[in-house]
Amino acid sequence: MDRRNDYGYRVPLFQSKHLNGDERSGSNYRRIPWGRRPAPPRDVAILQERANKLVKYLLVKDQTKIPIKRSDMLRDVIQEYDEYFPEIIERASYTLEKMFRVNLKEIDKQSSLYILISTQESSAGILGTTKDTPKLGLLMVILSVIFMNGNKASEAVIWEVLRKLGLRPGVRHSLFGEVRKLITDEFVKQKYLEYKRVPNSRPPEYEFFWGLRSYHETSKMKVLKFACRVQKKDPKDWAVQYREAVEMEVQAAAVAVAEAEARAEWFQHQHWLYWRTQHQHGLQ
Amino acid sequence: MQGSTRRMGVMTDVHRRFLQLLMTHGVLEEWDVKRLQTHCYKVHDRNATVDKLEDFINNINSVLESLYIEIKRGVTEDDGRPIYALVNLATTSISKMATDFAENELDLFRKALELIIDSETGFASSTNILNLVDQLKGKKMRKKEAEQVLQKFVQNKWLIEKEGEFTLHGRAILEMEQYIRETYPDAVKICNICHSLLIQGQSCETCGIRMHLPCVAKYFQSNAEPRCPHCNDYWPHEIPIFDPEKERESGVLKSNKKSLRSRQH
Repeated sequence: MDRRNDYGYRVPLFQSKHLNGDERSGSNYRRIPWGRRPAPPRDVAILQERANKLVKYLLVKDQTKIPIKRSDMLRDVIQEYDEYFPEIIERASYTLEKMFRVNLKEIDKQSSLYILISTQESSAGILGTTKDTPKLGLLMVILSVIFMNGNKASEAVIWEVLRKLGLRPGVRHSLFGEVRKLITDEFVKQKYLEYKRVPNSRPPEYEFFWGLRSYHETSKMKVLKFACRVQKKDPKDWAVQYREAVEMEVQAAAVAVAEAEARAEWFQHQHWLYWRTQHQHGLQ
Repeated sequence: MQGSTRRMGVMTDVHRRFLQLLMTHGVLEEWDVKRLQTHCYKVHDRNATVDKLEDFINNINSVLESLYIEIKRGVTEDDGRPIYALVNLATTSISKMATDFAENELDLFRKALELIIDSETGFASSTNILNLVDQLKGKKMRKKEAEQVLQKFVQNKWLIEKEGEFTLHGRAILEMEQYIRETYPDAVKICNICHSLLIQGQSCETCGIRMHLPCVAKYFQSNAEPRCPHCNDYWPHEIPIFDPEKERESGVLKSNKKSLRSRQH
């Protein structure tokens, strides 16, 4: 029998929130060669097998961009091998890096949250747009506003900009859905933005910051170039242009910039990134 | 068997970038896949000769084998265009979708899937799907919401919509064929020529056998009097003609279909 069939996943349809909920059912346990008991520490094969499952699990979970909880990993994949979690996750990290050039990063030690970050320079846009492109385009606009405003921007300022693009709070947009929910909830959950109350503000006011994922997935250099290219125009022209872009699929401009950077200036950017890492380490 | 005898290849940054981009898009047509491959070489290895696509992909697959995933090649049912997607080999359920969608959304997909498989045309009408909204597991879903969820499936390339009716996207067929054949063994339709899962196709009105449109096109090409391969009655439908891409020989297409079939269990 083919090795693959030994895993014998006969999953009832839609069992999961979990990828591997099927492993819980007794009949499938019988098919697993190593039985129910946890592996003795030297049995590398079973740890590697769990690590491989964890790799696939993380790749799928990361599609939503919402950080992954360690408790979910333990429940859905690691299961009875929880005491070997550190080794399993290290093996998984290694595989993610080796095969996918993706870094598994723990972003919150207290709540044990993880995200996946691509470690290679993005080729996003090389084949045109995906379903995420409009939202990422909008995000790029917001990130540049925050950056140009000195790394934070009040909610009022953000909405001023968004109104110029024809976006309004409470109004459902064909590409973005309800925009306020997108920028204060979805982008925040995904760690693209931070949305914090201004201390002591009455009535409460809020401001936006770059989220952790934005720092990793883009760079201030990219965002700066994007903003400059955009601001060459008169604000009125810019607004009209971008209202159009938003209505069609906004990211064409921003992604073209990123793509051009990747292709033409790849080596230069590598050096700049290296400098930036050194600089940041120096600051921290 | 072929999996265990495959020699493990080596993955370079060219392959990794390719893999990551393919994953971002979910499913890609062959033309885009080739452009992608060329781009990846340009970024990482300008001077190297670009590997033949089949070898390039086999190389990646040999490395991915330990993860029970592979890049699979399929053909769209309506017009025979080759497509590629990264599919999960081990788990046969809709696990890949599972983390993106809520329980009631997945159940909606399952209802749509069952209607599609049971239908004569391979299409399920929006109305018929929405009428099942009350039977969904999980949180109660209104019809309006269900309409949006169906659109989400279309955007994520699990379903295709044509004039208010839904069928499976080629990607869904690639990913779920094994699962569908195992879960609905009585209802499922199979193509008489390539023996793969059939959702859309033509059928013989006498004996009932079915064929994919691209399979019909190839089987009956330049045949003035098409006859059913099973019962020999006249084939009652118009024979589609698909324009093969200029660079490809039909021989290449045939050999790829063979390797696709041989990968199925």
